[in-house]
Amino acid sequence: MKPTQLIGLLLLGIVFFLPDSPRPNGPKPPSITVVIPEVQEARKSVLADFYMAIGEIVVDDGERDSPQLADTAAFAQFHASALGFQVKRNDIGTVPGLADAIDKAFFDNIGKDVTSLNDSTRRKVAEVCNAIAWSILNG
Amino acid sequence: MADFEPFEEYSRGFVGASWSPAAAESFASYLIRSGGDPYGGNVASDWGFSGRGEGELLLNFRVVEKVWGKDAIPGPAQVRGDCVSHGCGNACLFALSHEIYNRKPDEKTKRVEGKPEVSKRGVSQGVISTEAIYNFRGHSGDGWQCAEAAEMVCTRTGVVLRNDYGDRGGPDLTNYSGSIAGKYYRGNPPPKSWQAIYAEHQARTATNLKGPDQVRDFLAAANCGIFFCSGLGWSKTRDENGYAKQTGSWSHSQSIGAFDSRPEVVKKYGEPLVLIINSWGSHWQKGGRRILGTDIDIPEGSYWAKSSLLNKCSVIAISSINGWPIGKLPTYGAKGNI
Repeated sequence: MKPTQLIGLLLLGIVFFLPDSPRPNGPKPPSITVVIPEVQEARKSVLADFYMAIGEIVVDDGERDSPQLADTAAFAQFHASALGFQVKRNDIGTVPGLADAIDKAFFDNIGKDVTSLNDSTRRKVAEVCNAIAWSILNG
Repeated sequence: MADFEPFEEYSRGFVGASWSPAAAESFASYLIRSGGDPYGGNVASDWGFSGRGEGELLLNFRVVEKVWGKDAIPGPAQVRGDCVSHGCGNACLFALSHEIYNRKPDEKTKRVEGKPEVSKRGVSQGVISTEAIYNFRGHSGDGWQCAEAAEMVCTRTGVVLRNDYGDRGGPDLTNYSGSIAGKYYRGNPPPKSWQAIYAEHQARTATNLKGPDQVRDFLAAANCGIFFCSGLGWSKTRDENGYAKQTGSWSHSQSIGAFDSRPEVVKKYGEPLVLIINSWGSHWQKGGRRILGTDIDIPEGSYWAKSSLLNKCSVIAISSINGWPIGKLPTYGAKGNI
C-alpha cells in the first residue's frame, strides 16, 4: 500500500471507523447544489458519514506539517482507495448514475485541472463532500 | 560510426563500459550527501522489502509496455559505443513507467504524476533520450562508467523525453542520434539552453545493488529501474524459453527487465533467471521469446540469463524521477468504486 493511501486510511479509521471515536457531525444544509440519485435506505447513513469523514480528512491534512494530499489528483486517488475499502464489491454500480453524479459534483465545483490543494480548495472539497452527504440523506 | 555493428565490436574487445574506483566513490559520496544510501541491501532492509518476490515471476517490462506500448523496448540499436547511456536511459524509463502506472505521488512534491506526451516515433526510439545522458560523460571518446552516468542523471542532466525542443532553443531528440550523443561531453558541454531542458526532470535517488537477491527485491518492491555494467558476453541464440548462455566477454552496459525465480524455472535452469534488455536493436539475437509456462513473450532483443551472474556485475537501481504532473483528471475516484 502506498504511503498516501495508508495515512489516509488511518485518518479515516480514526475519524470514522473506530467504535469509540466520535462520529463526524452530520451534514449541514449545503451552500452548493449537487444532484445525487436515490441510494438504498440501508446505505444512506454509512455513505453520508463516509463523505463527511472524507471532507474532514482533507481539511485536517492541510494542517499537517507535511500534507499527504498535495493536489486534486492525490485527492482523487485517496477518494478511490477509500471507497475501495468502504464499499462492498457487490454494491458497486447498484445505484445507476451514482458514481458519475459524485464525480460531477467534484468536477463542477473543483474543476478538471490538477491543481494544488490550498486551504481554500480543501474547504471547497469539504463543502462538496458535505453537499454529497446531505443529498444522500435528504435527496 | 555508421558501420558500427555492436555484437562484432563488443565481441572484438570494444570497451563501452568500464569500472572506475573514482567514479564509484564519487557516486557513493553523492548518494550519502543527498540523504541516500549507496548500499541497496540497507535500503531493502530499512524499507522492509528484503526477500520480496522470492519464488515469483516479476515482469517489470510489462509495465513499460502497458504505459508506452510494445514499441518502447528495446529502443534503437546503438550506432556507437554509448551503451552506458542506453542502459541508464532504460533504467530511467522503467522507473518513470512504474511511477506513472502505479500513480505514485512524487516523493518531494506529493503530486500524482502522469504520462507525458511523446510522439509514436519518439516511443519507438526508446522514449528517453540517451544523448542527453551521454553528453555528460567525462571525455570526448566512447565508453563510460555506470556509476558516473547514474550520478549525472541525478545531478547535471536528467530524464529527457524523445521530443523536438526546437521551440525552446533545444535539440530535436525525437530520433536517436549518434552524432548528437558524441558531439558533447562535460569538457565541451551542450549549449546552456539544452542543459536547462536536460535538467528539468532529474532522478532523485539511486543505489548500488549486490547480487541477484537484491535485484529481485528491488524489482518486486520499488518503483525503480535497474542497469548494470559488466565484462560478460552472451550467446546470439536463445533457447525456446528465451534463455541465452553466458559466453565470451563484452565491456558493456545493459538494463534489467524481469526476474523469474519460480520453482519450475529453478528446476530447469538450476537457479533463478534475470531478463536482460540489450540496446542492440531487435534482431541481434535469434531464438524463442515465450516465457516458460506462460503465453507471454519477452521483448525483442532481450534474453534470460542466469541470475548468479549478477554477482559479477556493477548494478545500479534508479528511482524517484521528478516526473510530469497530470494535466486533467479523468475522474475524481468515484467511477468504478461506488
